[in-house]
Amino acid sequence: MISFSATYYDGVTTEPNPVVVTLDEQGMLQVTGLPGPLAHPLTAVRISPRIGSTTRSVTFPGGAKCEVTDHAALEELERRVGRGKLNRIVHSLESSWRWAAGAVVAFLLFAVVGAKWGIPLLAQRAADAVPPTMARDLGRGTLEALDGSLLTPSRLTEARQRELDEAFQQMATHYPELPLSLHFRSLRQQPNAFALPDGSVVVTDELVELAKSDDEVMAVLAHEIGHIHHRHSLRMALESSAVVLLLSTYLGDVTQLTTLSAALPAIYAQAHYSRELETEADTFALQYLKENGISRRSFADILRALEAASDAEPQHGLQYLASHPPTRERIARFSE
Amino acid sequence: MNPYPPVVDARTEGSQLAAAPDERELPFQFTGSAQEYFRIWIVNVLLTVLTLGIYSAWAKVRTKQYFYRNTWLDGTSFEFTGNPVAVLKGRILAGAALALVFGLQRYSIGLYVGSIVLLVLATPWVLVKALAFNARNSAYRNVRFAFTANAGEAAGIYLGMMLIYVFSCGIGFPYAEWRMTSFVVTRHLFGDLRPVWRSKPAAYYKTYLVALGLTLPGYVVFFLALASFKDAGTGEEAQAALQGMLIPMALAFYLYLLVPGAFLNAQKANLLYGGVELGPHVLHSKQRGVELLKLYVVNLLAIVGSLGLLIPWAKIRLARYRASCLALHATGPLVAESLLDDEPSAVGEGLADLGDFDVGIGI
Repeated sequence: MISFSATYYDGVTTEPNPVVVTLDEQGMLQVTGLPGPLAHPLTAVRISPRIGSTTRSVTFPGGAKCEVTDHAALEELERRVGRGKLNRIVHSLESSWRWAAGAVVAFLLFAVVGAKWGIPLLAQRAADAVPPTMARDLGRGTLEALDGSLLTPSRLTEARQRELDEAFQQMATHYPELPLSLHFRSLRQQPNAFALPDGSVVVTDELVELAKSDDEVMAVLAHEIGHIHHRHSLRMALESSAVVLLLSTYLGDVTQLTTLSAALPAIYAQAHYSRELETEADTFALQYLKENGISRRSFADILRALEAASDAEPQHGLQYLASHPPTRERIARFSE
Repeated sequence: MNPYPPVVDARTEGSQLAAAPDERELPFQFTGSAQEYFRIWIVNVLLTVLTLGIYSAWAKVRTKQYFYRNTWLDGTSFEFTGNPVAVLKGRILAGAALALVFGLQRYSIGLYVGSIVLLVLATPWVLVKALAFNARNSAYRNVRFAFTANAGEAAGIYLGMMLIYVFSCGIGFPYAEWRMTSFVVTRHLFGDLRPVWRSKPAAYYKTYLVALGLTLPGYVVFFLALASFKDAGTGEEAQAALQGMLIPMALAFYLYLLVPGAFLNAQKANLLYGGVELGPHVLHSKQRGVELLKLYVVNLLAIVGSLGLLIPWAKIRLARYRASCLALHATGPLVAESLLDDEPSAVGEGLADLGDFDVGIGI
């Protein structure tokens, strides 16, 4: 026989009634302590799940309710009627520090595996699935926006621009599926080159001036075409939004306090992804140089020159989180 | 220590009014423990990951139940009775609706824009559904809360708010917020008791003005720092130093915004809860910006330092402080009677989750 004390609420008023609930041999829950007799079959009551050491309730048909803190008695009732098995399993997980520690390890493992392989793979699949016209649409307007802010017009002579553009067009014939175009700009006097999703490759005057030969410029452009070929900017966008989405879902509803702490790992993760993407673009460039009989050393040389230039240049705010793989490693790949 | 000594007025002393024997100060209390909640939280996180998000509905309900059941008033805890399956259905429906909207983007820009407009128009309906679901599933002493506004009413308020906000260039924002809060509070029911809300628009204006004043030192320091770098010279090194300082300075400014943020949150909570009268009973709320700021800063440091593992601890601390600042000045016994109403769907709850609305008004 199971018997426990409880507080009875009839569901109509807020009045509390101290009662004793007893399970008799016929499987009836007898409630004593009320003005009149009250009994319900155990099979007809609903028992709320156990969560930590909090008060639970037994709801009778009709909406009356007993609030109970005698967890052992309620567990026995649940066993008798064969219900709440899943809730009991969840509760036993929640009550064990060993499981909690296991959950932390499992979650970290999952997060690391997911961030290192899962998300990049999914982003790559998704980026590949986007039709070329849509990829182009996504990049449209980016160059105009940059022209209005960071970029300034090129100072290179028209003849020099034409010369390089011809070489670039020659290179572009190898990739008829890509809508490639070359643009000359100046960017805060930094030697730089970058690719936009719509197939635009932007090269700065400073990089052209830094290069000791056209082969060096072409090696950098091949690297940028690699970014376009692999749809890296799209993948980056997908990856970072996936990271932010997942973090906010899993760490969720933690109010504004954690938005900052949630964003930090996303930034770090992003910096890491782009390293892998740089390596992929390097591989693409390496392939191009090999197929077209250009010495791979030209890329190693320009990388070295870029590194020297960035060492001489003061650190810029935007370069705070280095997103390129260590240049030495990259140079080594092109120096063999 | 009783923070609210009974008011003794010489003129009424001795009269029946002042000597009401059944006036009591009933403090709210939060009894959740960080250790217990940590284990619930981490199991929630893991099961949600392992079930590809399906368990998140159960996680949400269990979390809510844990916080409700640990919030006590006059010897009884609150109860959350939401059905996880209903929440899951709501989430699936909401997810499907959003997927449909983004899917339409591929086929027709017109349909896409149209569906977004529909989604925006549906916001008041979603808000009402979410509030109704939350209220209906919140109970105290087996008497449920309810939210009784219909979507049309909410749409009217919502539209009015938007218009005020747009046409006053933001000056009307505190009023609009007061209007919205007033609507939400007074359309709630506890059993058959309808709250009266006493907070005034002027109090919202005062709060926002002070908060605005509190942000000023942040701006001043930020721009003084910028100017001092400018003065340092236009040489390469000075420029580099300036650019290197930009991110830390922006971060510091962001952190400083916690100061007006804490003040604003404390005052808004006091205005929201402190203005509520439920029958003969009056709620008192005495959150303090300084205390809230201390909590925010320590919570932030703890969460960042522990890579998120102290999130449960932070949430428990916040809940404990909020409850400790709330008290019910009760006159006579806490009596309410149930009203029967229809079961609201969890669709709103699911959509509101995605929209990240804060619908924690039940308690």
